[in-house]
Amino acid sequence: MSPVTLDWPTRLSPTCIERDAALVELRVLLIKGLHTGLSGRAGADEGFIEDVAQMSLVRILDHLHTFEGRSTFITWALAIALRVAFIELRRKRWNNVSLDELKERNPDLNDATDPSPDPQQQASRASLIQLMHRLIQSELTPLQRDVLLAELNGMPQDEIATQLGRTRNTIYKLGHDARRALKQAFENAGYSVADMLSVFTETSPQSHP
Amino acid sequence: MSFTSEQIDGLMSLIGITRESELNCNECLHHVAEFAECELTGKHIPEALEAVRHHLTLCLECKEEYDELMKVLRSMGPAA
Repeated sequence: MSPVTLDWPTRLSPTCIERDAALVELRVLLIKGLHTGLSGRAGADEGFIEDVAQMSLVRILDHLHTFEGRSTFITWALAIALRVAFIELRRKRWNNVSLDELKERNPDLNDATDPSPDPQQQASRASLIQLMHRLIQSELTPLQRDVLLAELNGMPQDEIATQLGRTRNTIYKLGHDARRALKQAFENAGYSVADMLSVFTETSPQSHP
Repeated sequence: MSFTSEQIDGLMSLIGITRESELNCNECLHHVAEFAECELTGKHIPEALEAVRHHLTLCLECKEEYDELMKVLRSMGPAA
């Protein structure tokens, strides 16, 4: 069998005689992809990309058994490499910011200005904001509130997880549970999400993802 | 602890698209390569992969990684 006909997982398996060559080849492809994906990013210099490629190779080999062939192997590997890269970039950017600092930084809700020129819309909006604030206090656990505040301030989930001693998946679940609890509480209070969104969409100063 | 009006706006938007069941970030990563290739080639997105699209609307970090993955794949051309 010609070496080029072997698939990546086979070539990367510990018993394959092509393994070393495959690792070199994959590393080159990852570095090329990382150069494209991280171009213009602060901190993503040559040394950083080399380090990320090495860390990515380790992670790819550790997870080789999870590759199901639903995409090309290279796309799968690049997705992992970019995950590794962004975790590192975000860590660099946020490692000096603590959750406690975010709590102190947040101004009081009452200081917020209302962009709507319509007094009725302003009243609806103010009423919903107050309700939301009450529900955040009454329906969420302190941990859920901390996670929400951190997320809404743009702190990466990996950084929140590190500071709270949890995993990124746990942080996502905490945020998801918090959103579900608030959605249910609004519905219990007689508000439909569509109604709330219409008030906020019409008056919001900027859109959010 | 207080939330600013802008943060409340953002939260309201997120609540509006919250589902009972959502992928977490690792599950998204598990499927995102297949999703990206479907998007890139204009293939029909299977229903099972729609959860990836939904996660990407909620999770800015996974969306950032996905956008860069698409940029890389486009740069590699159809042979990727």
